[in-house]
Amino acid sequence: MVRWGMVIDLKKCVACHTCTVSCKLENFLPPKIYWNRVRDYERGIYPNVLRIFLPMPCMHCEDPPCRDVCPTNATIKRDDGIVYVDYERCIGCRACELACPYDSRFYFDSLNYYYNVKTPYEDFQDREPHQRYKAGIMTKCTFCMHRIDEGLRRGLKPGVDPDATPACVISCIANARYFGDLDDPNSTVSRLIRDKKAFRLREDLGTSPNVYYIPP
Amino acid sequence: MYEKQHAWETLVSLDMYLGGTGAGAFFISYIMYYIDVLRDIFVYGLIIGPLLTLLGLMILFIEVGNPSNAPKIMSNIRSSWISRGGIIQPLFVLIGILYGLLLDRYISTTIIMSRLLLNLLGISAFILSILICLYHGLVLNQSKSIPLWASSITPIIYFITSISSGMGIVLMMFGIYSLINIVTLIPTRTILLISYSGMIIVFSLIVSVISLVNSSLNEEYRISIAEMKNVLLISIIFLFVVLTLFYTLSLSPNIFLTMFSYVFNGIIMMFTGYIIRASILRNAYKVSYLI
Repeated sequence: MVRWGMVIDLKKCVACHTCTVSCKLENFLPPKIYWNRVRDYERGIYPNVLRIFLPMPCMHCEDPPCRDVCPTNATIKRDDGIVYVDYERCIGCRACELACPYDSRFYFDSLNYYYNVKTPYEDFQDREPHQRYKAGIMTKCTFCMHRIDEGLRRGLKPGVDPDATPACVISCIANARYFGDLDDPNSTVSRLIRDKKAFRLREDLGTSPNVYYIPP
Repeated sequence: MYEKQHAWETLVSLDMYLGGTGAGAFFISYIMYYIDVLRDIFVYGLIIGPLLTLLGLMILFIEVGNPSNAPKIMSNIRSSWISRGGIIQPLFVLIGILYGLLLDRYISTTIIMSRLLLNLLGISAFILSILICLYHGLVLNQSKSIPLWASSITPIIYFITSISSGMGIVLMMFGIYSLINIVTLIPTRTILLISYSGMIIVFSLIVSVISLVNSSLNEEYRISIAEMKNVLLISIIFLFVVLTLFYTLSLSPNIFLTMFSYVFNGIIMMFTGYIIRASILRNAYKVSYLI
């Protein structure tokens, strides 16, 4: 059984926000919606201060709190661990936005475009079956499941072949992101988690995320 | 560092308030109908309660982004409280209104079967009203990322304010009924009990919430309650003024003033209930520093 996961090396991240932009390009996201963000803040008291760049996609939790609160079963966890929203079922109640500890959910209150009219690029989203947005739905990072599914269909290996890997991973300039199968003990991600003592965010909440971080 | 939630605002607070108040009004009216001598007045409460819940549901319907998917709301009863509410609230509205309407006509019927059915309707609506009083707090309680909501005080406060706002409706009904019909109704012992105990309940609730500021579990929790503090302090002063005013007015020989004091008392109880609920809904903080 595959379980897709990601490892992000905080030592390597330089906060260039390329992952944020490539995510927006890949998924045709409208203004003010960022499925992937890089948080930038300081921890500690002078002189022991640490500046942290924290890239945050959806954590694709094993036990997602967003799925538990969803009244319409629009939030679905696939067998391979990917959590996504079925836009046809979503009622737009925003309960999942409040339940998510990682702020990984983004509400489309209206369909905005960067310029008041649709540009040819934005028009392209209508031809892409995987992102049929409409007003009043909740959206989130899908681990680029359209790329993974398409890649698997063509016999590629997600995490190794760029065409089958999430856009944020292949666009990273510092090679700080790794993608692969967490259930396979020999995959890159599994080795990194073992060797570099990777941790996860807010483990106290019991969500068990599938995105790991290598400490800075 | 800490982020306030902006997903649920005024419309949702109104929906939650009306839903809870309607259920609370039904709850109190049902009990009063069986124990109070002025029973006929409380039949109105049995209809007004479900109507308020219906109004709340309609506000929710406007508020959600995609109302066309509303029929699918019941598909996750296994884990989602909103989904469970999507069943119990419409059911309560239907059964409650039916019971309130039939009660007036058929209570004196001698046919045992129909009386049995009527009582069955009443008891099921009563149980549903208790569930709805609990429901809104449990919806908030399911958001584990917001410590104020995830703590067990939120469902308790939501339950108590549902009941106290329901008491407010009953008092208002009592006052308005006698003002409209120009009858001097001598307040029975239970009405007096409601009018004083309601105030005391709300008062002690606010005091206990404020006292939580210093005995906090963690930082976000403390910030949420500290934000609520000012609003709650103002409502305490308000309550003091009203309680004094109510006591003076209710002793007056003028029937208009006496009944007006009951209406006023009811309004204030509903208002404080709304303030407490809305401040819990609005002052919810999330952590944004994750490591």
